[in-house]
Amino acid sequence: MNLDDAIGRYMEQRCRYRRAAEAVGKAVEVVAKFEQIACTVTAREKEPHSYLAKVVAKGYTDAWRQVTDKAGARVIVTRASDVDAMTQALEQSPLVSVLRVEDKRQVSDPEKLGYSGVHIQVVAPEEDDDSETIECEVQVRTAAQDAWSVVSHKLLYKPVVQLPPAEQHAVYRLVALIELFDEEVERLMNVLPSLPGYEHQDILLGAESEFMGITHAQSYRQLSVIILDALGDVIPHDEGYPAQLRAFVESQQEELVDVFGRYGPGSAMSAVPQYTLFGQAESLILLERMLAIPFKLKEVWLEAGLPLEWLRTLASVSPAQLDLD
Amino acid sequence: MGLASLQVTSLAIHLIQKSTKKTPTAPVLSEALTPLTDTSRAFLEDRLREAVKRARPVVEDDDLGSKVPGLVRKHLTHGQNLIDTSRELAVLLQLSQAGVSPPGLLLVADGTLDGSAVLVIAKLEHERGARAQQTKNAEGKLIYGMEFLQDLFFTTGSRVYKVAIFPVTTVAKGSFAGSVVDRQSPGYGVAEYFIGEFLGCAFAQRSDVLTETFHNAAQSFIDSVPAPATKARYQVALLSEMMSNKGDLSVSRFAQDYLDTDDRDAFAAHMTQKSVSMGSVPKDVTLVKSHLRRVQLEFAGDTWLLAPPRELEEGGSISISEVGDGKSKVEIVDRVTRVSGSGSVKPASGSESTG
Repeated sequence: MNLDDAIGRYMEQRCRYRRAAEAVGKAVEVVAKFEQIACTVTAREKEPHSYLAKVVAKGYTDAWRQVTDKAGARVIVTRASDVDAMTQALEQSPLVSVLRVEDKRQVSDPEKLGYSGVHIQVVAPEEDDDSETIECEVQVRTAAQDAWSVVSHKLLYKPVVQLPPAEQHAVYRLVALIELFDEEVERLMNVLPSLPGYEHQDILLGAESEFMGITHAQSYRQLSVIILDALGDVIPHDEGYPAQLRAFVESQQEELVDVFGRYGPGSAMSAVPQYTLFGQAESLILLERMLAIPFKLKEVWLEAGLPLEWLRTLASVSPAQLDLD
Repeated sequence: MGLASLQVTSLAIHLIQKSTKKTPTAPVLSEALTPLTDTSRAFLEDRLREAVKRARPVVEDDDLGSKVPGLVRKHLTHGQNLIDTSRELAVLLQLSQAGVSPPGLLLVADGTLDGSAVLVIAKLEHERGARAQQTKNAEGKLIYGMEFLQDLFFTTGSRVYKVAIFPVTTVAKGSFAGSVVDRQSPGYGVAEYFIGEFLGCAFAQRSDVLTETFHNAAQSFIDSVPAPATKARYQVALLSEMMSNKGDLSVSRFAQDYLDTDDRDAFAAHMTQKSVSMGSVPKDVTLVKSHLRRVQLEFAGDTWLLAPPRELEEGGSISISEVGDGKSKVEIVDRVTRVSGSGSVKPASGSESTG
């Protein structure tokens, strides 16, 4: 099909390709969530001027069939290993039908610079009026690969002027930097779970988010880690606990806003040492725990040698019976 | 009661003096409300909340003829101002107070509990303490000077207070009810002059009924414990607690003193589910006497063992240990004095048997 016919047909069917991209994007989100791969997914149909430019630049002879990214989705993952994990998950998922996988990270030509993740061609979910199979290109990248992709287009593939040797060298340095960035992210993400306090990360982030909503203030994270470390298995470290804490906060929202307004950050009591916990996000966890397992909490708190007065003052706003006299 | 349910809005304080019936003394009355800073209000609320958690429900006893219920009702439902109400209460408390009762402060506070208006009446005794302050001595050397203070009150951990709280929600209904705690009084009672003569109230629940509820709830928890040796140990503990000289029963104390760490929270949750107060309850074993004479052990092989609780305690003649597979070994080291039922065994005098 020649370019004019292809562009005309695309303009007629553009909405269909938008729906195809969105449907694939949603399916990819479901797969990522199921596989617990942290990512952001965006989906779009190709801009007509971009379509035109691609056909001309690539010298396609069939302007319809050779443009395979009329619908596209982009998946930005946190770490380099997640690119492989996401690719594998999509290949194995019954939610998407994969036609082919192109690994753009493979070094086929040492002279050619490239660092663009993986492109996966999938079949979009069919609609009743479809006259042919609609494909969608899913690009899986790290944030660094994505950044390089954007910049490299301007520097390498579409330069109006030829880069002098010194600037070409600078481009090599940039690619090296991007690769190093992803490698270091991967290394740090691998080290993170072995660091002290890591096991509290999800719980503390959840508590901090709730605390921020109630007090509009941040708490002192180092103290939070010390307290959560000391509490040990008083705090459930299963995945369900952040949701349990959120449910507790939601059920007591009005009272918590009132209590922290009177004793928390910015209140007259915020400078009183006994009220320290009212300035800390983990106070929400403690209030929830003292209702659920008051004896265990008291025992562990005393064993840890944490200030009893802190807990006693916090317990005074709770109906829980801690018997700390 | 929800989070931070008790809040104080205004406060009046008066001095109750030591007096006798023969030579009555007037209280020293404030002429205006006590100003509350944010910090003093927070401290007072904190202390009152701790007290209220331990309070027991009371209802008006018409036979006692106290003027306090009428006064509290008038205050909460007709909006009498706090200073007038509190001055009248101070006079009534001074009149009710027996000669042996120590002087103290009467705190009367308007506040809210779970969003509804309440009147708090508290009698607090003066406490003594010391304060260290950095200073310099005559030679100009840095020291910590010590100052003796005898006008402290309601200190953290203090037990010298009596607190009553009356919510408008119950007072306005016609039935005058509230709750009272007296940390000084043994066995979670309340000094008679305070609850009866002054407040004109009596406890809403009988001690023997509360004791029976506690016993039955604790027993059902013990019945649910799967390990036989642990179950037997808890059983002995319950009997021991019931027969001790302590004047009260406390879920918290029982859990702390007798139960394994991992069982304490489950026990507390079970007791709450069975409507047992988390605060202490006065003990009166009248209704549970029949349960306190023997511990009964039943075995899968249809063997029964009845024993006095003391024999299962440490140093007693019966010991129980786990042997795995859900089985236990029960060992009795004692003299067999009599065997009854079918068959006939006549033990030799002074013989010792292990079973």
